[in-house]
Amino acid sequence: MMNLLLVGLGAAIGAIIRYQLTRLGPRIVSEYPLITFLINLTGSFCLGWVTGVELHQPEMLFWGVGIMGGYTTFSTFNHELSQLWLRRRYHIFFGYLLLTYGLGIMVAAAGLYLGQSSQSG
Amino acid sequence: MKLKTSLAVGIFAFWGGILRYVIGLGFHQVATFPYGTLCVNLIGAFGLSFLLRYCVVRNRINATYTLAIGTGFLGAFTTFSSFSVDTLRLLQTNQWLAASLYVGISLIGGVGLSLIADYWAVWWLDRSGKSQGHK
Repeated sequence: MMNLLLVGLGAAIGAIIRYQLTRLGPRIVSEYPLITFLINLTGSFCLGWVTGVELHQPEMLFWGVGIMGGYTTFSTFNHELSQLWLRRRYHIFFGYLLLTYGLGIMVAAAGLYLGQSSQSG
Repeated sequence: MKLKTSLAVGIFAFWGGILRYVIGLGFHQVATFPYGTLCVNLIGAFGLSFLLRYCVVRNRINATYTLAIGTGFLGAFTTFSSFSVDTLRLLQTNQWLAASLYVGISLIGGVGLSLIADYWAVWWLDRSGKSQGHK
């Protein structure tokens, strides 16, 4: 029960941060969905880091599953991709797709190694 | 700040995050492959595109609810950070086939379902004569 509460509260905080950041979006004149892109990359890095330092169960549920899970999003990412495709912005579509997946895994790895070395160092 | 909308996003995200966690727990007992994350991500990708197309055209749900359900519930229900770390874990343990299947299904499935949801919403609206179709 406590676990569910920790995940839920974390997810709420993460999602509110994401919502506030997304509201900056329309001020940036670009068709590239920069905000979601940066949210997913920073979130992947932080989850990698949190995984690397091997937090204990309650902290991991709050920070990792809750906050980082709620902060990053897969649904908005794919919605933006589908809209780019429908508007025939194929260059941006493929760029956004490949950069998010490629860099996402790379920054998660960087976060993980940094977390692990901060733990052993 | 838009306090009211932020609060609505937070409350819906609370439930979205919990549901993701519970589904993940359910699958975790079955296998090491991240079925849970894959499952919620694909459902969420379909759900959001359907919601946004249907609601924008049909305009039946107000903007606050659209944000609460879309950005809050579905945004927190789905996750990209777990996807990245799950993939990393598979790569680290040399599960190349599992890793490529996971990335491949997420990638093609996510965009595919998003597009299908969008077309489906347009088709659905066309039947009731409310759509102008895709631009």
